[in-house]
This record gives sequence, C-alpha cells and structure tokens, in this order.
Amino acid sequence: MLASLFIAMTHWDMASPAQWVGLANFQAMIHDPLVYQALYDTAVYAVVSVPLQLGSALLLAVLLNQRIRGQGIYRTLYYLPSVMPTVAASVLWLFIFNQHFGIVDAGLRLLHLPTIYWLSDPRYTKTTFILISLWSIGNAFVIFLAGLQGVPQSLHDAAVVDGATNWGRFRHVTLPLLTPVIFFNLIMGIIASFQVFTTAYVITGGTGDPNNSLLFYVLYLYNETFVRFQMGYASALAWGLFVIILILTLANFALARRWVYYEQPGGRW
Amino acid sequence: MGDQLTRRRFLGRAAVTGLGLSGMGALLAACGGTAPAASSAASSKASGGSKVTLQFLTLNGTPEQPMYQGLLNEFMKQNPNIEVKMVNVAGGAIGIQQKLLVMLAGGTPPDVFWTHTYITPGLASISAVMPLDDLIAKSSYDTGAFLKPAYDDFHVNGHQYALPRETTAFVMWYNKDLLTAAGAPLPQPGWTWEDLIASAHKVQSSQNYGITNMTDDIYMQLVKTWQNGGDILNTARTKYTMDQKPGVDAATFIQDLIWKEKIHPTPDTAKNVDFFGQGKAAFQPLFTVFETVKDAKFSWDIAPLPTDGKKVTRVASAGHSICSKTQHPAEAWALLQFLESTHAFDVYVQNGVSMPSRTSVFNEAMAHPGGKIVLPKSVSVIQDAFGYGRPEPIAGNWVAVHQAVDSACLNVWGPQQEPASQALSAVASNVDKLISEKP
Repeated sequence: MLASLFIAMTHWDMASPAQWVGLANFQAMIHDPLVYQALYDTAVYAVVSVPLQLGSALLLAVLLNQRIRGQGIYRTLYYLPSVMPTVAASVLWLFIFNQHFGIVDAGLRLLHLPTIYWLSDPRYTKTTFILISLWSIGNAFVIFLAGLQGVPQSLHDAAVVDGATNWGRFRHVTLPLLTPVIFFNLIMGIIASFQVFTTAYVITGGTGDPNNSLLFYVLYLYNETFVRFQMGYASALAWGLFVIILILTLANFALARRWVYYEQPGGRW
Repeated sequence: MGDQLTRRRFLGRAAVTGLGLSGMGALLAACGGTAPAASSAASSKASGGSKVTLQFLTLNGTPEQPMYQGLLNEFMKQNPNIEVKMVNVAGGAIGIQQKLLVMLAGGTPPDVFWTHTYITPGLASISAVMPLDDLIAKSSYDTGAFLKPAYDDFHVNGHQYALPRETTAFVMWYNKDLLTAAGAPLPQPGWTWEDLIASAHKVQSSQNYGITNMTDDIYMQLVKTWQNGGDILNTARTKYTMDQKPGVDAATFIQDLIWKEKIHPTPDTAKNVDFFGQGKAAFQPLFTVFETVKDAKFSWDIAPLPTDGKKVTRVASAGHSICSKTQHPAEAWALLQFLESTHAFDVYVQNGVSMPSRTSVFNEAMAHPGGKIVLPKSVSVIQDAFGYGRPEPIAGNWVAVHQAVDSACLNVWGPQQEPASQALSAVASNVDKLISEKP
C-alpha cells in the first residue's frame, strides 16, 4: 500500500523511468469527467443492488430455514451460483439478455410485448446489471442462514406463549437478533459493490459501453492501468476508492450504534 | 511533469515524507522497471560457453503454443548453448503489450516477443523494443525476402522494429449459395456499396442477414472513411479527424445498414454470433484469415471491398521483435532469424497461420495451397489488396484510441442511434490526448 501511495505521486508507464509529479495525479482525478461517470455508475449500482441483494438473500434464508422436504437440495441449488466461475456466468448472461436470440426477449416476443436491448441500450444496462447481481447472493444467503439458526428457540416459544403471530416473531425476535449479521453483510455488500469488475469487464469487453453506462470505478481503474499504462494515475484512483470505502464503512459503523443489537452486557452495540 | 527520478532520488523522497523502510522495500520491488533489468530469467551467464536462457513471449492457445514449442525445440537442438522458455498470454496484441510491460516492470523482460503493428510504435516510443537496423546491417540480412507492405508495417521513425510473420488485408467475404438462392448477383469487378445493399436486401429474411461484421471494432468505419477521402487522424498524426464529414458519413452509412436498411444485425448481436460462418449472412468484411469457414457447408469466395470512391483497404501485420532490455542481443537475434526463416514459415503455413509474409512462401501458398491454410477461390483478390491496402495511421496509445473511437461508434450504431457527428466529436479531445501520449 505504501508503494502504491508513492507510485500515485509519480508518472510511470512501467517501461520508462518514473517521474515525480507530487499530487498532480490526485488533482487530475478532480478534473477527470470519467471519474465522476465511474463514481455515478458505481454509486447507482451500489445503492440499488446492495439492499436488493440483502433483502433477497434474507428472504431466501428465511424460506430455506423452514423444515421443508428437500431442504438441503434447495440450499445447495441457491448457493451453487456463488461458486460458479464469474466469467462463464457472465458469458451466459450475455446470451440470456441478447435482444436477438436471448431467452428473455424470446419470452417477451411470445407474450407479444416489445423487446428490450437489455445490454446495449444505456437506458436499461444498469437495471440489467443489477438484476444479474442477484445471481450471486449465495454467500450472503449462507451467512443469513447461519444467523437464523443462532436465534434461540426459547425466545420464539416465549413469543408464541405471549400470542405473537409469525410476522410478530420475525419482526420482534428474529430481526433484532439478526442485526449483527445484516450489518456484516451490508458492509461486505457495499465493499463488493464498489469493487464490481469481472462481470462488467466480460459483458462490455472492458469498455464500460454503451455510452459509459457500465463504466464502474474498478473497470476505469483497470483501463487506466492496463490500457493506458498510467500507473501513477491508476494508483491515485485506487487510493480514491480506498478512501471512499473507508468513509462509507466508518459511517456505517457510526450508524450501526442505532440499529445493531448485540446480545451481550450493555445491549445495543 | 516534474523531473526524472532515479531510484536513489525516488527513495530519498520516500524517506523525507516519513515512510518506513518497509514501505521503501515494497517500492523498490514495485518500481523495478525503472532501471535496466538485473535479474531477468534471461540473465544466465552468457559468456564462457555456459548456457544462455532466453524468454520468448507469445500468444497462447492452438496452434500458436504447440507450433512455437516445436520450433523452439528445433532451435535449441541446433543451438545447445541456448535454452528458450516460452511465456504465453491470451488477448492478442493487447495481451502481449500488457504482459511485456508487466514483465519489464517486474525486472524479467522477455528477450524476443511476438508483436503487432498496433503496438510497435508505442513500444518504440518508450524504448521497450530494440531497433533491428544494426543487427540487420551487420549480418547482411535479406530484408527483401518479405512482402514489402508487411516489412514496412514495422518501420517507425526511420527504424525497423520487427520482422513480419504474417499480414492480412480486409476483403469482402460472400456466401455464393445464399446469394444464388436469393437470385442476387455475385460481386463483379468495380462493384459498389449500392450493389451490395441491393443484393443484401434480396437475402435479408427472418433467418438470414444481408451483411454482418461491419461493426467489428472500427475496422470498416476506418476503411469507409478512407474511401470517403478522410482519415482518423490528420497527415501529421497530431489531431483527430474522424469527426469530419468523411468519418461522419461512414458512421452514418453503417448506422443506416442496421436501422434504416435493416440488413445488418445490431453490434452486440453481430459481435456474439458468427452469422457468416453459420451460413446465415450473405456478406461480411473481414481480414484474410479464413479458418472460420474451413468446414463451411456452403460455397464461399471473396471480393474486393465495394467502393463508391477511392479503392483502399486496411492491412495489418504481426511479427517478431527483440526487447530492448534483453541481456543477450546476439542470442535473441539468432532466435529471431530462426523464427523468420523459410523453414519456420513453412511450419506457419502447415499450421494455418494466416498469410505468410515471406514472399517465396506466400507465393507458393497462393499457387499450391497446402497445409492448413484455408484459401478462397479468388486468391488474386488477396494479392491485389496488398498492393492498394494501407496500414492504420498508428500514433500514441493506439489500443486506447481504438477503444475510444469504438465506444463513440457504438453509440451511433447501437439502439440509441446517436447522431454520428455528435458521437464522433464527443471523443475528439480524448483521442487528441491519447495520440500524444505513450502507451
């Protein structure tokens, strides 16, 4: 990290000697419109996809925490996408969402609905990408499942005796005890969403097209590194990302005092 | 930009700013490329008759990897004091450039590497590639043995930076069966884009496209701009000019094929499906590598690109270079000559590697097709194309220039159908910056 901080203060193309430029790379970031575009794309993705992923993973975990037939098979099936190679899955999504031969638009045609250019029209690309992100909720799902199994049955029994409905038990027993797990998944989700890269790289061929609508921050950083060979500038971008994630994480920890409940002396937080 | 940094001064500043020694150690490792490589894998003792180890950076996959391994084994047998280790990467010219720079930065540069006309000028500008002029002169190497356009492709600022392995030109492939079945005429000498569009309309149906592949990168955008009398850069290669009328007309022409004439798939669909190879497109402009149709169940041939104006096409070459940081230039030159020998070219032909750029092998392959090279019936179209073809006006970070202009073109050709003048102008300042910078 220290090395990258120093590289961020140089102009270095990897082949020629590095030139000391001080804070010029950080100043250039401030005036680079593509930095703002990349931040915008990434922020929209994070703001929508993280809550959606958490909600979906929690819902799935609650459903698969029930005693149902084939429970193990379902759990495996829903976790499987998380261990599938991202590149292979991304290629699959390219085909699924192709307007010409993709299965989604084929369905729309069957229903006599207009087809959509899911991944080539900038009006729809982010929505499509957010939908694709739901493919990999398996990790959060497994952590939620473990959290749910840690909720003491005695508390549920006591709530039933007091006349609580299923929703009441979930709202007033399960959810509060699950807040540390939600908090963990939230932090990890935010970090992962700001580091989104592989799927975007495969789907856009590394360009972030159409019209930079999928130019996520790390994709831009990659291009500055390995297409433009601006190692100094790319290191400055990496530090920018580090600071953003640090601020968001610290803010989350500060806010966590208000809603995360730890079952230990002192109660909340 | 500030002053140039030596490693010592660089580290000095690190100390001044209060960082610990551990950070400096990491920095030393990270900035290994700023000084001549001292610990290359190729730095085995060259003198005293002991074995020299060279690194050869090239493409991965089949046939490249096994083909080169076979050649390297022969070379090592002939030169028992030289061991050659092959480093393979994916991603074509871009992959090679990335890997080369990473190896340079890591202090383990390759000695010889596969190269492409796209990346040579940029690598030359940062002195990553060795000029071959002295080596050629000292050994009286016969450079006239190569096809001239291919050899000249690697001539940059008065220096020769590579010897060519293969060269390609853009021509129009066509599916004879589809055209005949649709009652459309086959391409005739002097045919125009209007002729192509008329034929394509006859083939166009829910199953088949009239034409595909016009949106592959910016190749046809560039050729059509040339045909219209324009170029991507000005003559001095200092300013972007694709946003002028010839370029705008070219992009609009391709946009019309997709959205107005409706005879070409959208760019994302064209990119993901080989319609021509599947026998579902009448035409496709592409370079002269015909591997994808070697097992075609339909009859096909090639024609010159249609034109409404200037007869021109794009040529591009691949070859072999020596890295400027090699510790063993003599051994690297020996390997380079071996990879450019008639014998090596015969192996390339046997493995179906594109159009050989050694004239004798090229002529033999054209006259008596053999090996795995797939050739069309109208071979003369290829030979002619090398006569009127021209390379791209490469400048600065050409890979990034392609990416920037391609993004603009996709906005024109994609569903948003942005006006060409607007989209192509939007990237002007960025391209001007890219052509002035090193890769």
